[in-house]
Amino acid sequence: MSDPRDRPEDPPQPDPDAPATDEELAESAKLREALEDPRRPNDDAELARAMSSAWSPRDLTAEAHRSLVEQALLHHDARRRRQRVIRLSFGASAVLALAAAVLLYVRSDRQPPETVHVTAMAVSRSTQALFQDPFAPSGGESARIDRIAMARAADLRDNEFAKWGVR
Amino acid sequence: MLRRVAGPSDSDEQLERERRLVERAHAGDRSAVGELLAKHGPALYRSVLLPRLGSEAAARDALSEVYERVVERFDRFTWQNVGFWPWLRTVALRVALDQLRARKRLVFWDAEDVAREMDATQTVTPIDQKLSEHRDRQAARARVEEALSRIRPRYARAIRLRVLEERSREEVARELEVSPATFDVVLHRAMQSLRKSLDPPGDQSKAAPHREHAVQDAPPSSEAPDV
Repeated sequence: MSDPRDRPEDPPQPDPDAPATDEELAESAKLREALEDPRRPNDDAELARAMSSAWSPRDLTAEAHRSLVEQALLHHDARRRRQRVIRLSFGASAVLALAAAVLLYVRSDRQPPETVHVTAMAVSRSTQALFQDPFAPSGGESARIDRIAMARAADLRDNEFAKWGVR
Repeated sequence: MLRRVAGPSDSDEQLERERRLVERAHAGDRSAVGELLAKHGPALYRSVLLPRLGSEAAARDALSEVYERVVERFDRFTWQNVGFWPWLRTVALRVALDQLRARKRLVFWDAEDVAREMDATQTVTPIDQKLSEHRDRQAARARVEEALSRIRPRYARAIRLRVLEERSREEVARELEVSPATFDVVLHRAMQSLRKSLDPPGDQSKAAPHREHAVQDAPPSSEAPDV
């Protein structure tokens, strides 16, 4: 409530003894009904009730008060339970993720690297071992090529069998 | 008498009991929080929330909000040998302030008044709940008296008898020596006048149009009672 001294001068008040208008009569009836029945909305009746509450405030019933206290305690407990469930869910998810990461790491560590299979296979090498005798001064090229091709075809077959795991 | 003087006073014992309850509550005992609220809640509703918010429904909602905040933030309360009441009253004023700021309805306290009370609460709130309640009650009544002093004495009397003393319409009409129908109009005019005096300057839109204009707009009623 502001200080009345700070307010601009009030306009002249209407004559309190003047006859009521139709509008006033209707508003008066609405106010009377709203004062008798608090469910009826009416600004003046609300202001009257606010004034009455400030002048002689009524007590809250013991039952209503107890119910508000219990409700606050229950809400708090429920909220804490919810928070605990959320924390547990996050914790469990984090532990599972960590376990999965460790498992993956361990498995990848134990698995032999693929280079092991590669070393078991035939590798590129010189063809010198295929020819024990010195070459003739002329001729014999096709026979030497055939020998090399057969040896390499055998290597290729052998490698594929190794790759398929059937060697 | 001598024994009483020599021993701890009632308020000291109450303070000590309350300190133990606060200790239990800090240790996680919810029933101790419940006991503290049960002890101070009714006074909080009656002397802090209801007068400021002006309606039982709003005050009940606010009390519920206060309890939830207290239970949730109890670990922030530090015992300082002044009891639980000043802290609880401050929380309640905070909730009342939030409610008043959120709505436009005209009540006897506006948000700025409650904000000022909150600023003063650290130094002004008495430790003793009953003394604090008494002061709140006096302040509320003074506020009502001050509002009534701004309107015509006849209007103030109509409001005092019908609204504050809650006497019946017929009884007040007899007291004012008018018919009940005339009294209805007197009370309506009284409330309009009160509303105008409470509305902040420049916000007169909520009040009914000025009566002179109303008279010009509407023809006088043949059944208009003599007011």
